[in-house]
Amino acid sequence: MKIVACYKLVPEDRDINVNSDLTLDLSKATWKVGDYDLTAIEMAMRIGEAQEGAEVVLLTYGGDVVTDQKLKKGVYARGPQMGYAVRDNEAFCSDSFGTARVLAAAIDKIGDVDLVVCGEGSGDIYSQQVAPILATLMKRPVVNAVKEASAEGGQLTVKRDLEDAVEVATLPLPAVVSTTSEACKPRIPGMKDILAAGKKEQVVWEIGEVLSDQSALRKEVVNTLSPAQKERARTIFEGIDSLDSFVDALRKVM
Amino acid sequence: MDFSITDEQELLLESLEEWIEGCGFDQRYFDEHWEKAQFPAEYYKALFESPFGKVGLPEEYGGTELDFLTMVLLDEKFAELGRPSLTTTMLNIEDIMMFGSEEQKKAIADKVEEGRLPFALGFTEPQAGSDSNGYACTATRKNGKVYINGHKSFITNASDTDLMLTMTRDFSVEPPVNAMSLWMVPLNAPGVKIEPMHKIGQRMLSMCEVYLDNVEIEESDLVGEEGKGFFMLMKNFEIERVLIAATALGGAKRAYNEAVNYANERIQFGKPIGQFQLIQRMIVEMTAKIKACEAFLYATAWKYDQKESIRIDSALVKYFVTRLANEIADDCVQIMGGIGYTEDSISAKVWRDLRTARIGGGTDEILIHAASRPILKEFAKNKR
Amino acid sequence: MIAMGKTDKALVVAESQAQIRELIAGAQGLAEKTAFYCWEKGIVAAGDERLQIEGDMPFVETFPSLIAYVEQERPSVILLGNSQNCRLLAGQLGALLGTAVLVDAQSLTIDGDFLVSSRMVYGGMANRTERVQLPGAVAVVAPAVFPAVEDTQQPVIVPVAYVPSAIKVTAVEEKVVESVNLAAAKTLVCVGRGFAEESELQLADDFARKVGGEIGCTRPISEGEGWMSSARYVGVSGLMLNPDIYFGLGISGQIQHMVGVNGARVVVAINKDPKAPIFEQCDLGLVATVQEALPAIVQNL
Repeated sequence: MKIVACYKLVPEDRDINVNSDLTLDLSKATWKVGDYDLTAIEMAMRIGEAQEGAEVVLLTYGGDVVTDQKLKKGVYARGPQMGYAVRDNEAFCSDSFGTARVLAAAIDKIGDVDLVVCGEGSGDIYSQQVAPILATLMKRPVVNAVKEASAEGGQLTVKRDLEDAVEVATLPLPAVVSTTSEACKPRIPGMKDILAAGKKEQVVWEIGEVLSDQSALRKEVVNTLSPAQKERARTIFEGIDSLDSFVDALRKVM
Repeated sequence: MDFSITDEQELLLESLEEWIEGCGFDQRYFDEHWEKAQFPAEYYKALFESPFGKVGLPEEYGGTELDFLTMVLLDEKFAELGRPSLTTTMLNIEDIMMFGSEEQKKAIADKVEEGRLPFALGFTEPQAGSDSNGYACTATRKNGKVYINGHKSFITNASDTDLMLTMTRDFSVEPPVNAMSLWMVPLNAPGVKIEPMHKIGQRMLSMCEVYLDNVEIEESDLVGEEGKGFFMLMKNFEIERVLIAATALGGAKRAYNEAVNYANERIQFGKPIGQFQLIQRMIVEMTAKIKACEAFLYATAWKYDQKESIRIDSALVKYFVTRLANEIADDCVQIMGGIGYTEDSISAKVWRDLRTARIGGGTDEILIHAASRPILKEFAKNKR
Repeated sequence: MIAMGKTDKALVVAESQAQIRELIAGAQGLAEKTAFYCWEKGIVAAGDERLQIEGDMPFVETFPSLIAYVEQERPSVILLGNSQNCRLLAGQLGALLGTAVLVDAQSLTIDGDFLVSSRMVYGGMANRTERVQLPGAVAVVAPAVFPAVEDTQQPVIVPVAYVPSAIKVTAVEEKVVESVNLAAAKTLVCVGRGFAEESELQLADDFARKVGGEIGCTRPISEGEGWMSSARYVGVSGLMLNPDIYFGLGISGQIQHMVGVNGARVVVAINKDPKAPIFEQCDLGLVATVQEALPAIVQNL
C-alpha cells in the first residue's frame, strides 16, 4: 500500500510584519511546516504502520524553500521513508485549485498511490479545499474531518468528527482524506529519526516536469491588508487586591 | 573554524522544546515538587520513555549514542527550559554496563524499562569530600557474605531510588587509590538508615546521610574488579565536569532571559529600567559572559569528540562556567529587584539552584589544584 | 451586504435550516433566482426552488446527486454553509466547475463579472479580498454574515435523481450539542486556557449568568479539550462577532481568537499573566487568576 502525505511550507505567523499602508511584509518570516500538516503526516504513518508492507511518502509544492535542508530533515524525521517536492517560483501565489492540480499531476507521476492524506487546511491561508478539489480532479472519493482511519482489503474505514456527530464511514481505495486538526499528536523525533532524515531521498521535480500547462489561477487576490485595530483604553488593575476598583470600573462600562 | 551547530542539532533542540511543551508537566508541577523537596517521579518516568531519556546509553540497551557536543547542547537546553535531564544518570548507568556482571546489567536495564532511577552514587563521606584519601567505609567478608560498614554523606537521590553504588576501602592495601571497590547495595536492606539533608536549592533531588551498619550483601554485588573502584569512577570525572558546566550555563540563560525581558518592561522614573546605564552594564556583561562560556564549553566538548585529552580543559571549563553562571544569576536577581527575592521569580530559584555547581563534582579549589599542576609542569617542560 | 449587480441563478446548500435561511437571504441579494438544498427536514418557505432527493441518507451520501444536478444545471453562483460536510462538497463542486472556492466569506458582492469576498488569512493577521469569475463561482459562507430569511412563500419542489455514493456511512454517534446563537448575544463571555479543569467552567457559567452573557470559547477549549462544542468557538474559521461587551476570561489574546471580537464596544480581560497580549487589546483588565477573581466579582457586582 502506498500512502502520500501532503504538506505545505508556510511563513511563521509571528514573523509577519505590517507595513504602514497595512500590507503585509513576509520578508523576515522563517518558514515552517504547517501545524495541521504534521497531524496529517502522523495519521498517514499510523495507517501505514497498521498495514504490512505499507509505504508512506511525502509530497509538497512550493518555491525554493522546498529543498531547504533543515526544513526537509525536520519533516522527514517524522517517519516517512522518502518524498517528493514540486518546485515552482509561482507556488506562493497559487490558490487551492492551482495547488490541487499540481498535486494531482505529481501523484499521477508518483504512480500506484492508494491513499492521499492532507491536513485540515494550510497553515497560512487555511481554505481547507485542496483535498476535495484534488480528489475530484483525480476522480477519487474523498472525505474530510477524519479523526481516525484504517485500511483493509481495498477499503478505508474512517471516523469523521462532525459538528453534531461522529460518523463512521467506508470508502473504496484509492481515495483522498483530510484530517481534523486534533486527530492525533505528531510523534516527536528523537536523534535517530533526525539523523536518518538527512539521508532520506527527496525527489525534486521542477513544475514543468509535472505540468505542461502551468497557469491555473482561478481566484484573484484583490488585496491582503491588516485589519485596522480599534484603539483600546487599556486600564489595567493589577492583582486580586484591586478587585474592588476593577468592579467599580466595570459597572461604569456595562 | 565552523562555529555553527548542525541542522540535526538544531532540530533535536527544537524537538526537545516540543516534547517539554507537550509532556504534561507544567511549571506548577516542578515548583510544587521543589517546595516540598519531592522527587518528580512521574516526570522522570515520562522522560525515560521519551526520545530524550536514554541519550548516551548504548543502543543495545535502547539508548541513542550521541557525540558529546550534542549531549552538552541537550543538557544545556534542558536547564534553560528549567527541566531536569537524565544525562548524568545515563552516564552512571553506562558505567555498570561497562564493568558490571550480566545480572547487574539486567537489573539496571529493567529499572530503566520501568522508568525509574536505577541507583544513587554513594562515594562522599564526612571525611572524604575533596580528600579521597579519607574514605573509611569498609566491606568485610564473613561466612560467605559481605558486610558494609560506614557513613556516606551528601548522597544525591538516596531516598529516590532502591540501590546505591557504594565505594568501600580495603585498609590492608596501599596506596589508597588501589584499595577502592564498588558494591551495589540495596537501600532497603536491614542496617541502612537514610536521613535527608535540607538543601537550600536543587530541592527536587534528595541529598542524604546514609548510615550503613553491618549491611549484609552478596559477593555478587561487587561491581567490576575489586580494588579498581577509583579507576572505574575516574573515567567519568571529566565528562561530569563538562555536563555540570552545561547545566549551569543553561540555568544562567534561563535567569538571564527573565531579567532582560524585565528590563524592557519594568518602568521606573518614567522609563524601562533597561534604559539606565547601570542596568545596561549588567546586561552587557552577562551577555558577554554567556558567549564566552558557550565558546569554551562547546570547544571542550568538541575536543573530547576529536578524542583529544580534556583533562585540563574539563577542570578549567567547570571552574570558569560555574563561577560566571553564579555571577550571572546574581546580576539577574539584582535586575529583578524586589521580585527577584521572591518565589515568583525564576532568577531567585536559579540563584539558589546554581550555587551548588561550584561545590559538587569538584570544588573550585580542587579544580584549581587539578589544573594548575599540569599547566606549570607543561611550562617547565617547554619554556615559551 | 449590498450587491452591486445580480447574476441569474444561485444554488444554496446547507446542512441545517438555520444555515439555509441565512444563505437564501444572501443568495437573493446576488441572484435573480435561488434554488436550495437543505439536508435537515422541515418547512422552509423561502427561495424559488427546493431540491429534493428521494430517500433518507446521511448528508455526505447526497453529494453525488447534488454534483450531478450542478453538472446539468450549471448555476451561476453556489453558496454553501460552513459545516465540515459543506466544505467537503464545496471543493468537489469547485473542481467540477474549474474554479477555486471562496471560503469563510465574511462578505459577498458581485462586481462586474466577478464574485468578490473577504475573509481572514494568516491566522487572523490579515483580511484578504479575493474574487472569482462568474458564472460558476462557489463560496462557503461564514455564519451570521446574512440575516436569516423569514418564511414568505413555498418554493417549487424540484426532484433530483439519486446517484449512488461510493462513501457509505455505517454508524453515527450523536454528540450532545446544545443549540446556541452567539451572534445574537449583546454580552459575550469567552473562556480560554486559564481554566485548568472542566469543572472550573462552572465559575464562568455563574459569571455569565450574572452579567447576562452567552458563553463562547477559544479553539483549544472546543477542539483541543472538547469541553465545549465548536458552535461556541469564537475566532478565525469560527464565529466573528460584534458584541457590545466582551469578556475574555483566562484568554491570552492570540489574534486567531481576538479577530472574532474586534468590533466589540468594550473589551474586558481577566488573566493571571500581566504580559498576556490581551491586555494590549482591552479597555479594562484585571491581572488575577480566574479562579480567584470570578467568584469575587459575582459577589460584588
